[in-house]
Amino acid sequence: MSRGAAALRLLGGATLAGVALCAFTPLPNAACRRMAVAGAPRPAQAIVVLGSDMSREGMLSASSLRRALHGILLYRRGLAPRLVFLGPRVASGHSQSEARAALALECGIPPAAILTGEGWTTREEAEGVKALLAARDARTILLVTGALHMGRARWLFERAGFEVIPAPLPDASCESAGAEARLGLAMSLLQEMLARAYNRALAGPRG
Amino acid sequence: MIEEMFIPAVAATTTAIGCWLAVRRLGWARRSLGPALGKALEWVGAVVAFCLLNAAVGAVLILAARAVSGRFVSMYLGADLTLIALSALQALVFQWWRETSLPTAATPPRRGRPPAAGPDGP
Repeated sequence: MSRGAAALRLLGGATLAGVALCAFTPLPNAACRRMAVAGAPRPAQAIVVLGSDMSREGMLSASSLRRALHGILLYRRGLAPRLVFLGPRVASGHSQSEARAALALECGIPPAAILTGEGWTTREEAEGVKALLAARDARTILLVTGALHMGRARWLFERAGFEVIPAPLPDASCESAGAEARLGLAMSLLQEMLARAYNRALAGPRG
Repeated sequence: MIEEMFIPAVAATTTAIGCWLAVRRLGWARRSLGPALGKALEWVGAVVAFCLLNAAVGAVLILAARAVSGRFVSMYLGADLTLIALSALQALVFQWWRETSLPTAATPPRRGRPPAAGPDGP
């Protein structure tokens, strides 16, 4: 057997062992619980709702809708005087942040309390919110995003100069059961770990 | 517990049935099972290698597209299950190609140019 074939067998064996661990043991659940950020919302100067997905037809994804509703509920609990909705404008011209702002208006949030911003990445969102809230002297924010995404988002917003109070909501079930659900969870965790590493690399050695 | 064991139990059952049929009905050699498992591991390893290569090339292309067009292209574009299926296909083709290119006992390897035809012809 050639060295190449032996290396491929080793890689294949390690991969199968990893897949079996992820699919048939609670390893991804434990990793998820470790990565997910818990929240204890308290009063802040603004509620910042991060963007998620939106279809080309302008339909908010379930995740985008959940985050928007979470932000609206935090506002209605009187935790901050401003509500910032983020999300990019898709190629068809529909804006995620404007769709969420329209939903907030329908839910009775006063127009003066609503701000919108665009950004394709969490990094861009942090920079955008920094510019948006600088004039309003708001430094303490309630950050609304998924619990797995929160670690990276908090880091980026803190680097932008904010004091961040996490207000997460579940974006993946840490209690997933069954092989397919656990593999899906493992993929989400891997994706988030790669995104964190990418952002750290972009920030440079002082990051 | 049933949820945990269901899929492995199904796979174990069909594997046992397949092994029984192969040995008892088709007369396949038991000693060939080990090399077959080795080939399967090689294929899985090749799938992973192609996956990693595809992901790396995809990331470079996305960064290049951002730089050239000035528009945002999401890194999540490369996080597509289709890429795993295509990597599996790539691995299968390359594995078969490699195996058919390897010299066998019946066909010794050709070295250099083929012998020139002598006066008696090839």
